[in-house]
Amino acid sequence: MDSMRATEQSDEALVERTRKGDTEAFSELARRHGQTVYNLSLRFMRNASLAEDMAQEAFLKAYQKIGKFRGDSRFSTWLYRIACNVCLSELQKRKRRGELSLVYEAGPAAFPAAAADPSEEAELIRRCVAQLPRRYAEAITLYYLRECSYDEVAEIMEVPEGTLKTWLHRARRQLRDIVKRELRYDDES
Amino acid sequence: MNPEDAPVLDPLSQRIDAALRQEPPAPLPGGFHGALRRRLRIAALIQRERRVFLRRLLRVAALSVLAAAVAVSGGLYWDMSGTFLWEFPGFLGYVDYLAALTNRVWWLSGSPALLVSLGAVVMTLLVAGAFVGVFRQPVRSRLPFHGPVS
Repeated sequence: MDSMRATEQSDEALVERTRKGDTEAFSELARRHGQTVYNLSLRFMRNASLAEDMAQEAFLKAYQKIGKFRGDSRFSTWLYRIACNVCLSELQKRKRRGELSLVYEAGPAAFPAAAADPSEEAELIRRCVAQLPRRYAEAITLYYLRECSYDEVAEIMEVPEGTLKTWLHRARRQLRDIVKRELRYDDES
Repeated sequence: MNPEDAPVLDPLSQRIDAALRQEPPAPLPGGFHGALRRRLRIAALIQRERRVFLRRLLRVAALSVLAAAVAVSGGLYWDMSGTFLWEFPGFLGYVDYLAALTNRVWWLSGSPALLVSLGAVVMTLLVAGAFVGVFRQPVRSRLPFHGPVS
């Protein structure tokens, strides 16, 4: 009965119940936003189990900090911001430990420009996003996730829309260079 | 995305754009919500324990301060300094022993105020450390992810 009532409530009402110590209300929020948070994490981490871990970590952080959620933005926006920060911090740690670079030790010949499998090529391109600077990786990932609008992404990243557009432009240019270098593309390809 | 915002792309940029745009959404792993509920339950327990501990700590601290204040006030009111020094067998000797001991340490000799200050600093650091240790956010490694928690 309680869970049935929870499914009908708005995010704001569930947040209020969570603040009062109702973990069931937060579980409902997790059910609503779990899919998106997981996919967001997956796009950053490119690994299913890591993404699951990061998504859970994001929900835990949100639960612990729910008292600080002022309600200025939607709960989902606040939650995605937390998820981005969790993933990007983990990527930063891995970058520092040197676990992130796309290394193709077999040499350029082993990785021709036109990959045999287009889906494999697409996956390798997506992995290159992790090599972008933090804010660019965040902008690109959020922008392409569920085809978010500029204002949504700008709200999540807490930057003006104009700044976001500039970042996206630079991110695309840098990503192109990274893909070209990592996937050994010629200028003609 | 607004179609008019789409920039004119060269072939490589088009492939990158397509790769990012066409990524299918992945289904949520099977045990995701169950594992999350377990972790949430642990987090809630930790938060509750922390609140209980804080309440107890504050209560004990308040009682200690009150007891010390009552003791000092009583001592001053009934002028009990003489009682401690002369009525308890060996008390004055122990005070002399401590004074002699501090005088043997060259950087403390002649400056008991320094000893008192050092003691206060050490106590403050210990109490501050205990507070930081108890109330800092739990790190991920302290919360079991695949642990056998039911």
